[in-house]
Amino acid sequence: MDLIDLMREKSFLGQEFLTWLWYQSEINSGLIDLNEFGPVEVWIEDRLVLETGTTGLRETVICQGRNLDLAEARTALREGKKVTQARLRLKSQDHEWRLTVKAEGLEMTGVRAPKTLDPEAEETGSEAGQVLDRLAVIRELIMIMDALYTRFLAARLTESWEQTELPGIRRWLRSRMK
Amino acid sequence: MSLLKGTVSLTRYSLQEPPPEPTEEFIAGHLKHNAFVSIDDTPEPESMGWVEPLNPLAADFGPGTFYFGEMIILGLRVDVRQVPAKLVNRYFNLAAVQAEKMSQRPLSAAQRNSLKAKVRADLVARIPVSTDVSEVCWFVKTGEVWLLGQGTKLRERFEDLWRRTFGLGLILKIPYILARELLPTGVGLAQLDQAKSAAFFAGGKV
Repeated sequence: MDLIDLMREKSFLGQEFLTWLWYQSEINSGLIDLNEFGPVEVWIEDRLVLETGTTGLRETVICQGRNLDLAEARTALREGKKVTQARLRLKSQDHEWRLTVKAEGLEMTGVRAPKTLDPEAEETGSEAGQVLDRLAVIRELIMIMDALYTRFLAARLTESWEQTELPGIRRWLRSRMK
Repeated sequence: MSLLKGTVSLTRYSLQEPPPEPTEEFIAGHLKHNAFVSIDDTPEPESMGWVEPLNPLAADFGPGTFYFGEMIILGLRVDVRQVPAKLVNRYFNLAAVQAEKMSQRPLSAAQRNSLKAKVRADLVARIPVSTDVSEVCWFVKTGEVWLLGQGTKLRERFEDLWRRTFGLGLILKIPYILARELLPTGVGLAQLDQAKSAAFFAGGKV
């Protein structure tokens, strides 16, 4: 299989990564221990989009709003729809980010980065300093997202997927039906 | 600029191959060939090019304006004059009525096309330019490039300008590409290539 076919065939990895993050956000109070960053908290913030994964007639379920009830989203997942977009809140130590991740290309939109400099303070420095500071916190976010993706891959591509992770996700879906 | 305030949208790329020598002079030389050129005093409908990241009015790329440590930050400026088709049609209809009145005969198809092109060009020249500036970050050491902006059109414009400027290919970091890069210890490429989509619910069976 050539690279183009592989990229197309493995597009489910983005959808399953977001599903796995959603599952993780509802077990262990959303806490995931990433060795290099310590414990990171992940929540589904206020938007989750699921779609049928096939071409042709496309059905979309959009769950959004404050105090999001994801019962409808879980029903859609049980019906075979795939998570295509999620608005996440992510916390690591003192820093908190909000962002939307799209499964298809793992691009991030609406990234709200934590403020590390007081814009009113004199020591804020030059515009270049502010830009570099903001880039540093965005880079931190990217490193955390990469660490989460690596953690997902470690579960997804080894025996623990069939033995532990997938049964856990199925149990979680069943438990929320009651 | 999104790097100073507001929210950020981010698309990640890898370089297909490392550049020969990304010194400040090398980069500046390439940027100047594709620097932004204003269309304020021209009838052009669109212009796209590189500007300095902290000053979208400057495209000199002098020392210290875009190279920050191991990171290059660039401004991608797109100026567009957009004339809605409805507006063109409205002005064309008025102009056509006037032209037919003067010549006292209906306009031929060729005359109508020519008149429409003239009306569109007149409107384009009168419409103010709308400016959009996005940022591009190039992490030289890791060969990663970020586009800080949203939308398929912007992405296509950026990819095109990047290739024209540096002659370097970009690979979008989609899930499979990122997975190849981030394969955990003890997991081989074959395991990734053989992975199949999972059924999360399996008809209710655990």
